[in-house]
Parts: sequence; C-alpha cells; structure tokens
Amino acid sequence: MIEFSKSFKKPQGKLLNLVVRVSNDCIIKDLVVSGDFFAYPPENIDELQSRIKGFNVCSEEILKQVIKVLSNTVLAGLELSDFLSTLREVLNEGCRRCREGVSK
Amino acid sequence: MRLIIDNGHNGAFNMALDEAMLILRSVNAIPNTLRLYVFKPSTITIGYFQSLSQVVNIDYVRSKGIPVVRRPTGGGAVYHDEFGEVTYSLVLSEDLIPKNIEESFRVITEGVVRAIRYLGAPAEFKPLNDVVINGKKVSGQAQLRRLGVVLQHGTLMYNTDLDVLCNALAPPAPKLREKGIKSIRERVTTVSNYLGRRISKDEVIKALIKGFSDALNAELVPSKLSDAELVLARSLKWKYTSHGWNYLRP
Repeated sequence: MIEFSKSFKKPQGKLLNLVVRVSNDCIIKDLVVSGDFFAYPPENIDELQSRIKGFNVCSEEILKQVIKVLSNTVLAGLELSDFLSTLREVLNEGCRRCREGVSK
Repeated sequence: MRLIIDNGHNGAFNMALDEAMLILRSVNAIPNTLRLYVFKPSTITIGYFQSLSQVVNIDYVRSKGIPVVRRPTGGGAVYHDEFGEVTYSLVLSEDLIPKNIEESFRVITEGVVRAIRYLGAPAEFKPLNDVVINGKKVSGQAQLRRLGVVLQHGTLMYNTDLDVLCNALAPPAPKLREKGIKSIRERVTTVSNYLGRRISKDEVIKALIKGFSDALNAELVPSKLSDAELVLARSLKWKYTSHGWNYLRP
C-alpha cells in the first residue's frame, strides 16, 4: 500500500487535506478528505470518499465522479476549483508513482 | 423566538441536543430557538471534516481528562472552557437567513458581535466564521443546513484558560504559516483579557440575549426544553459518544 497526500490552504480560507491510499496494483483503497472547511450537505464528502474506492488511480473517471458529487454540494471556505486541483495533484502523483512501481 | 438558557451538559449530549433541535424544527415540532449553554466538563469539539489526530494534542487531553467530541457541523477545533466560555446554538428556518453561506454567517454572528460590544470590546466579524477583537479571535461559528433548517452554533470566550486551549489544540502548520505566527496563542484572546477585568458568565448571557435579540430583530421568550427534545437528544447521544463517530477521520 502506498499513501499520497496534499494540503491546500487558501489565504483567508480554510484548510483542505487529501490522503489517497493505493494498493500495489494501483487501485484506490481509501480517500480521506479532511479540513476545517464547510460543505452543504456534509454527507456528500463522505459519498465522494466512498465512490472513488476501487478505481485505478490513473483513471480519468475519478474526476468525473467527483465533479458529479460536488455539483450538488456547496462548499464554503474553499472553492470547487481548489478542491479539484488539489485532488488532481494527489492523483497525478499517485498515478506517476504507481506506474514507476509497475514498470520496475 | 424561543430562548433556552441551559445549565450545561457534557459534549456528547450538547451535540445530540443541537441535532435533535434541528430535526424537530424541521417538522415544526419546536419554534425557532436560541439556546445558550456551557460544556460540563470542559470539552474539545472538532469540525465534522477534521482529522482528530491532526488538530488535537491527544496526549495532553488524555492526561487532563478533556473529552473530545466531533460536531455535526464543519469548521475548526474548539476548546469549550466550562468556566470561561458560553456556547450558543440557533435553529431557525432556512428561509429567514441569506442563502449565501458567508452572508448567513455574518447575519447570525452579528448577535455575538453586538454582545461583545455591549460588554465593552470592539468586536468585528471576520469572514468566514470568526469574531475578533483587535484581530484576535474570541468567537468561532459553525453551521449545518438540513431539511430547510439552519443550525448555527458558536462560542464566546469571555475567560477561557488560554494555556489549556493552546496545549490542547494543535493548529495545522499551514494555518500558522499563513498567519505568520508560531503558536495559536498569538491569535486568540478573551473578552476579560481585553477589558482588563473578569467578566462573569451571567454578564455574557445577558449580553448574548440582547445581542441576538437586536441582531435578529426578535423577541426572545424564555422557555424550557420539551420532552421531545430531551428524548430525541438522549437517543442521539450514542452517536456522539461512539468511537466510530469521533474517529470518523482519525
């Protein structure tokens, strides 16, 4: 299992932490979204966490699924674009490291 | 608007009661309500999305026996000092406040701003959800909207033991870096500290009643919790005492 994380803190805004745990065959086992931001309804963040489990970390479908959930969510203290770019960063890092691992 | 002045409960019951009030308001079983309360014993609450181990100094709070409870609302970690902080919770119909989140925080938090001003300190709302005196935080708010109802709860630190607060809470490094400070101590204060005299809880409660009454242009009518609120809160309390809930994000 490999773990990747990214934090984002906008000036005057709230903190976002993303942790992605990926199996040795590049499958997302866990995504933990944490921070002091607000989301309405908050359960959508939990839904998002569970929805992307089982995807290959390199899959382009992940962001589509995330956008689908967040399109019904109001974030406060954090912009949707910040959330997506931070997630994209951590997934890209995960994908790169995973591919390196696979090619060895 | 109904006013409940509560003697105080433990953290799990307080959170359960806030949730119960939100649910019962949504089915018109209770009116719009302001509840003023304290945490007995002193407790840390953390935001719904926070990682407990990242924001709480676990060794310290265990050594001091300070309970930690996850809130149903977002936002940051709070130290609720039994002897130096009053918490409010407001449940009201969503159509009575702005849809915009920041504006709704501003409108409701005006009650706290006015309360602190009545006590003699130049409080200001600081978006998204803080109240500051000369740039130092004395109050934080958190909010949840569900079933057409807004639950907002928040703090007023009138005489909080800031040494305990600073030892118990572990602010994430990015927050400290952004504010250019080394410790949380540099950005928090209490009303008593500012005024140079010890404010009493009764003074704070009177100020909050006047502050919210004026800010919301509402007559606050003292009342008691209903049986339904107490029964539902007791049945919800298990969640807030459970490891699964409080360590939802370890």
